[in-house]
Amino acid sequence: MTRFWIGAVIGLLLAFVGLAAQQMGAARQQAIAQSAENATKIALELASAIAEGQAPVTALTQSQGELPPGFRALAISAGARTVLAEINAGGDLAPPRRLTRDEKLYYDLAFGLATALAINVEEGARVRPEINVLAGREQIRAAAPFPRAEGGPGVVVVEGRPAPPSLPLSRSLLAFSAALVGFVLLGRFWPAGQGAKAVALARMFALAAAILGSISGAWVGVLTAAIGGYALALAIASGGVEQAGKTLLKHNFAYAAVSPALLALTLLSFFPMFYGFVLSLTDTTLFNLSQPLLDRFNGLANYGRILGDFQVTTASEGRTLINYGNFYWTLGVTLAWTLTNVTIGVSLGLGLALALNTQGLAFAGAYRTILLLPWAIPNYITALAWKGLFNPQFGAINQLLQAGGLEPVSWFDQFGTAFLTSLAANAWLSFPFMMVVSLGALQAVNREMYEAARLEGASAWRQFWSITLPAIRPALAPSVLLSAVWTFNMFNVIFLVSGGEPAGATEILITQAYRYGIEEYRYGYAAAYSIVIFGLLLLFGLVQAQAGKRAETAR
Amino acid sequence: MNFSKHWPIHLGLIAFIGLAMYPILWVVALAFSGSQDLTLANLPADPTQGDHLAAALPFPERWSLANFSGLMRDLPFLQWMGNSLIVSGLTTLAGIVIACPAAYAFSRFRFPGQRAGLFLFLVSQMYPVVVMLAPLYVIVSEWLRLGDSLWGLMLVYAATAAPFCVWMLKGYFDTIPIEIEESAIMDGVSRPRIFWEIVLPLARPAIAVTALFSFMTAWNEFILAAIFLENQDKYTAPVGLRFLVSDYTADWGYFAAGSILVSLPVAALFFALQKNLV
Amino acid sequence: MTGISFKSVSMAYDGVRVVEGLDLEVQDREFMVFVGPSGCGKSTALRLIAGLERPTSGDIHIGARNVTQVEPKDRDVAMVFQSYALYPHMSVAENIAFGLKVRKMPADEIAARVKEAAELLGLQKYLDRTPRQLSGGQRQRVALGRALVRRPSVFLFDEPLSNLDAELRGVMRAEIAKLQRRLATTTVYVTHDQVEAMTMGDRIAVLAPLDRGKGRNLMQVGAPLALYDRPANVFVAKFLGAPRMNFFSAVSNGDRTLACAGLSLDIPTTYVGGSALAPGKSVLVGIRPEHCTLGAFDGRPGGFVVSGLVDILETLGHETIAYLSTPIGPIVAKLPAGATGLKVGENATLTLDDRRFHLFDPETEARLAERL
Ligand SMILES: Nc1ncnc2c1ncn2[C@@H]1O[C@H](COP(=O)(O)OP(=O)(O)OP(=O)(O)O)[C@@H](O)[C@H]1O
Ligand SMILES: [Mg+2]
Repeated sequence: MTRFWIGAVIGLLLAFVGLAAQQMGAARQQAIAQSAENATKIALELASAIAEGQAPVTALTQSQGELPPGFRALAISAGARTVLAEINAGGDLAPPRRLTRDEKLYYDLAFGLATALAINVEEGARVRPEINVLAGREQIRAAAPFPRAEGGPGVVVVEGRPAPPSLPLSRSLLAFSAALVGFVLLGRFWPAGQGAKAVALARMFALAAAILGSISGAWVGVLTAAIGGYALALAIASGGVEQAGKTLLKHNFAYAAVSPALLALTLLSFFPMFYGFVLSLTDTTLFNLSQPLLDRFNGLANYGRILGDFQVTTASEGRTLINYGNFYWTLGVTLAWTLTNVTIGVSLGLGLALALNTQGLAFAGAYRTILLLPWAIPNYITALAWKGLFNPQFGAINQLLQAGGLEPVSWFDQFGTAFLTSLAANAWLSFPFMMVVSLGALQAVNREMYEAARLEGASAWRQFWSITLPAIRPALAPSVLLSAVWTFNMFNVIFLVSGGEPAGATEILITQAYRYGIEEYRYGYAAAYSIVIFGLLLLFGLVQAQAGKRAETAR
Repeated sequence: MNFSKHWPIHLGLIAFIGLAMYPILWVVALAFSGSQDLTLANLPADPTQGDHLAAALPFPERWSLANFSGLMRDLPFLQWMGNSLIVSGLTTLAGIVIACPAAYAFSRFRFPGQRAGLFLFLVSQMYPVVVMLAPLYVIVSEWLRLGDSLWGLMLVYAATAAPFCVWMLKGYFDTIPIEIEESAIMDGVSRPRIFWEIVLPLARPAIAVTALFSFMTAWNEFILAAIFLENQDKYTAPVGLRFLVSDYTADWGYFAAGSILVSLPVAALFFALQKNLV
Repeated sequence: MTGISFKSVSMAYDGVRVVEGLDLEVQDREFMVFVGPSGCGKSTALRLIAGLERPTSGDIHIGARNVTQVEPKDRDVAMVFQSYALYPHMSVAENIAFGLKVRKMPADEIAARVKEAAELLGLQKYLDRTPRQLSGGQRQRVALGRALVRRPSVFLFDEPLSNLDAELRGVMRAEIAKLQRRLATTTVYVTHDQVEAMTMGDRIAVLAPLDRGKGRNLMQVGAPLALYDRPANVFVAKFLGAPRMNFFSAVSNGDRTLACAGLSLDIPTTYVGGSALAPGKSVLVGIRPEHCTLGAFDGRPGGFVVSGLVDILETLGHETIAYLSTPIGPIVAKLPAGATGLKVGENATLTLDDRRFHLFDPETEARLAERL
């Protein structure tokens, strides 16, 4: 009988909570729409004022007029600050300044709206919206264009936070009901025989949560606080907290020692990883970043688009074109990139190591030192230098070709040659590592084995395959795997040498993720891409660990 | 010396070295050419094969230090180097300071979460930073308000350097016999003091190597810096150098001169440390 | 009064039991040796005294004090490790002084104590060197010095001599024993070397791994010769003595004789009959190699004569060890150097001294009851 009542009360309360939440949502929506409308009106007024020459224009002008509290208005004339203009104005010595993220947004808006205006004029109809309005729970933004012939396109932006809806009654009711639910649930379903003190504590917690919630007005906060309180009380009751406290005390030095590193790592490594995962489930871009996360949620759509798109080629006008942006194309390029590089690196490194390991070779130390040089130079410098060497017009390589009477090659215009440029750069900077590793492994091989083989009449070639290679393989294998992972992740070389040319054909996974995220501002998509990369690396690690284990048991 | 005995090997090695050293010589030649051109000799309008060869041979037409002086005079290159020095130095310091105690605890104590913690440190090393750029950018510039600041960059570097430092140092601490510390415990020394007076002095060589490696890593880092830093005054040397030869400018002479100045210290460090590389 | 007592102490590493129900008293000023095969928990027992490990149950007392929960530094014990564990970055003098400095002793007193210890151990010349610049024996002395400057009430040694060569080991063995007598400090000394155990200790505690000691560690405690002459069980009998004791099975006839391989042998008079020697009971008989003599029946009644094939002969100069296969099983005999006439592959006859037989219950492996 009591169960029925409890069930009924809980059900009623839940229904009430749902209703209230919905009401609140509707009210907020209305408030947002109101604010957006206001902002749009102001933006349009300002834009027409500027167009008529009433308001002065400078870059990033602030104007406070009759703006609602929390709002600001800016007028931006794009042409004044573009990269090219700045170079021309400042002389050719000033390195070009990239736009800040905020600026970039406004310039994109200005150019976008200017284009829309031009198209509408051309079409003679309003085919494109001439104002840009963003109405989110956290941010409202209205942008209206103004034409400026000499300074490039301009835009007026009015932006700010919408006023919070005021619904004190439903808010308090909500908090109170949440508290009630917590209170009743705690008293009712408390596991038998689990400390009365803990129950009291949990009830107090629920009450505190209710009060806190009614002040802040966020029902999510109330719920989480109540659930947290319940969990805490449960932990106390089952001795978990006491246990944890004891553990903490017992190992206090260890925990104190580990915590700074763990904290830094959590904040700047694990949390970004986690946040990246969350982002991967949304369609976040730079332009909707201020919307609530839930509004941006789009489930596994990003993954579907990345992994589910098998259209590597398209047929057009009788020709087959490759979609360079396709994931599987990029994956194939990445694997080819890794494989060729590791093969080249190992062959070069091993070959050099064999030469340097010759018994009694004069100057072996000097050769080794000189050959280490490519490893000592920062790899971005190497990459940029190779980019210069491969410059189609002035680069040394084409000069040499021409000196030999050959035609210059437009290195970055075809996939094959562009791939080759990155390959050359990477081979150059990666052979010393394999050389050092191989040399170390070779020097650890017992010389007596060779002597025994020679007594049996084995040829040098035979000795290499039957003795040297098997002997150094265990030492070489981890380094080969390591260099495979490095190459797989070798951002700098691809990014700086071929730069993905032509048209993204030579992009590898990691540079592609960068393009999506940083250059195209598709944060959600790029995050999903990154998670896929991480998955591949993890898979590789697991396979490798398994293989290692098998090799160990076989031994 | 029995040079003649192995002459085919010497020949092969010298040929390979000649090939491998070409890019370096070429950069050096550019740096001392005194011009911003990619070619090392003037190409006439209708160049002959000889002209092409002259343009590619790593000997400038005339030797000049103009690129070096221009770099200092026309560009805030010294400031970029200074920024790099500050960021790399602070990164190393912070990385070592937080990694030493953690590595010690992971090496010496068995506590709940120890293995999980170590595993986490390993995983975070597997994950290339580039793929975390977007979330990192949001966290550092939006939440911590440290966008376009050397501090923000330092923080990110230190956090990415920490796992490496922890693993390196843990590996070394593992080799210090535990009896030495037990003996100190018997002598009545407290844990913190054991760490400070016994373990750290013993680990000094390992700490030095780890520090130099993380310094070099930070000194050579380019992409994070390029994203986080917006203001030219705040550029680190890699960012500055990169934008000397971007799509918009092609100051190859400055780039080459700067490359030499940036590479020299790390190359020296590298050769000092090469014994500990593998 | 600083004896040490273990009161039913148990200890486990991550749930793996290593020490179980250990009860043991070390007297004040006694030199106690823990001996046993590798992995039997000797070091663990020592570390329990030091406080480097905590028992999972049971109590440890040092003197009158229950130190079970006391920190190592407050136990007033000093320990010498097998690897010496010197601080590599400190000089010999600093190594010796460090423990005193930590305890905030006045500098002049530290200096005096260091000097005294250095003189005692012959280290005066090396005080400024670092451990790296010392030989093994000198490092050993520094480790000793570091322990004794603190003048602790208990010394703990964990296989301190095992890193030294045979000759130096002999010298240090004598030196440590002499030092201990002179300082009269309660000492526990761990070793797996029976020569050290037999020669250095006032008493020996033989420990066994739990699986071989039937769930206990402590096999026997007592004076060295008492253990040698009257091992309390098969484990101790096998552990002490080299080559180790011979064993063969016999069946009791019930009339104070045993039957074995069709022969009859008398049992020593000290053994009381009792149920263990009831007719038909099987008995494990042990005889040390040195109690086997060459030739049949040395003119004394009661010897047990066996013949067998000589498998191996080890001629050591002062004695010869012979390995024989006999009808009662393999027998090792320690014979005088001139044991002539023996040839590998030929038959030989041995007489086992029946007054020296050790009788054990084959089930419990315990020594049968004796009247002493
Ligand atoms: N720190 C530890 N963690 C887990 N098990 C341990 C640890 N130390 C020792 N053991 C185990 O406890 C048992 C007893 O070890 P202990 O060191 O006491 O042996 P021991 O008698 O000193 O042997 P040895 O003569 O080889 O030094 C061994 O089986 C060992 O594997
Ligand atoms: Mg031991």
